[in-house]
Amino acid sequence: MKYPYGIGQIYSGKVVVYNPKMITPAPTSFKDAFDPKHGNKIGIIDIQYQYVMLAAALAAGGTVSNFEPGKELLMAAKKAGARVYPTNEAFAQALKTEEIGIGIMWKARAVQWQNAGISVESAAPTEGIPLYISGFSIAKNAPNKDAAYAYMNAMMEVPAQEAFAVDMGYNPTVTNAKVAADLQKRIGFTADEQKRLIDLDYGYIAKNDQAMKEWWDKVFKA
Amino acid sequence: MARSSQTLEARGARRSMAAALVGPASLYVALGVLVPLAILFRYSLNQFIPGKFMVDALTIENYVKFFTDPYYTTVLLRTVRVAVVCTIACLLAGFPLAYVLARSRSRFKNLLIMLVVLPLFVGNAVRAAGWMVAFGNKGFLNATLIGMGVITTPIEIMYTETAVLIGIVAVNLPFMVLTLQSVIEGIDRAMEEAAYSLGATPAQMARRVLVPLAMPGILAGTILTFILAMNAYATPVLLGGPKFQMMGPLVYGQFAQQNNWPFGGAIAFILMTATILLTLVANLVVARRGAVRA
Repeated sequence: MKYPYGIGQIYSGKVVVYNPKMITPAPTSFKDAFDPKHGNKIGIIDIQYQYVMLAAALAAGGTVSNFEPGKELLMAAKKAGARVYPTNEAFAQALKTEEIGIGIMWKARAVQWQNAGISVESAAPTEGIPLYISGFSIAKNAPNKDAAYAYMNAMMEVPAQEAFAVDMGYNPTVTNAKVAADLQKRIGFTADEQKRLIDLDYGYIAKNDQAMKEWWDKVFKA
Repeated sequence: MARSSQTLEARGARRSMAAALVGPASLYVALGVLVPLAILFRYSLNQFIPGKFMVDALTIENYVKFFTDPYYTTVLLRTVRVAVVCTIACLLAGFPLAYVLARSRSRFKNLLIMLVVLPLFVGNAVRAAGWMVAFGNKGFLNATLIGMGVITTPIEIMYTETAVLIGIVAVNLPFMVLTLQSVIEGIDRAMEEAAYSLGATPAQMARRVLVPLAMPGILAGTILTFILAMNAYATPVLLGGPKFQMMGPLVYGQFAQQNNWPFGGAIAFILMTATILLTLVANLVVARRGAVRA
């Protein structure tokens, strides 16, 4: 995963997470995740507003470069009683106490929560799976570029990549890292799902972030 | 003649001595506080262009944006309201406690003071986490009340203004109590006894003697807790939740999440100015009252 300005170290995707005891039938799409019929069992993470708006946009016919169509869907979910949590951890806590039963999150986090004993399953949404890539760049005025390259090479090493998969539930970005089949099944994406992985339009987000956050704060959370 | 010049000399020497003593702290404050403030103020006059971050300019548009948007003015008003309510609650709850502590002759007095300070041993964020455990839908309070059959559906306390008020009062109360206690200790017990011997009731004594004499402490404690409440960060974020906005978190959000330094700088200055103005107003009101009484 190379970009003109940096490289990806690990990746996961934004998926639908749900408590199978509370949500039946199992959801398959972002549209299901924000379906107002779930009422106050829908959980939304405040600091994930960019991905939430993207997911809602995809569910409502928008694209990575146009988040506008998703706003109506989000407002409907809010009207139905969707709960907003400040952080990823608060969302996990609410899943655990069954205050909520459905939402969207990185697949890697769902794996971490499963490991913590929370009853949660994930579903790769039919609309497409927005990529979460954790990556590194080197600043133009970096005082020690050699060290930066050494660091970035080290993080691409096979043992580091494999340890991240085991400990954190994130997928390797190098092809020579081996992930055990059962772990791959929990953290990875099938060949069919990989075709649905979509990269974000970071330029669009950078230009519109201020406006998105203002809509989020003033309209959606009002 | 010789004598007065000597005193003048002595006075001059004392003055330069004072300057030498005040110098290091003043320099420290000037370099550590005033210079960054000046830089921040300059930033607040810059422009923010999405995708380009801060662009050099000389404009008051960030201030205009704040005061013309009801969303932001509501956040400011809410912050002032929370700070005022918390300060009054701290004063009402803190004064009796401070009085008892100040007048106590128990050998456990130091222990009692330590107990008041004890909550400060734990950071704000950790204390807020404790409240979260207590206030959650399945938290200690709701679980207890439901278990006892007092209520059937959990009370929503988390992520409300009530939760924030409780949290901030708990954080600020020790500051109020300690400030009041030290001042009340300095008031001679004989003053109170004189009032009683002249026939004053306890309420009259408190109103006419104790409170006026404790006024410097009340003012200091009020200002201290008010400033702390105005600038609260961890408590509103953790207990107020995502929909409850106060000025402190708003500043942080603009800087750290939006990368909008100019607007963040403007909000920081508005918050600081509001805090200073309200503190000055409180000072003036108290001073005028004192003058009227005299």
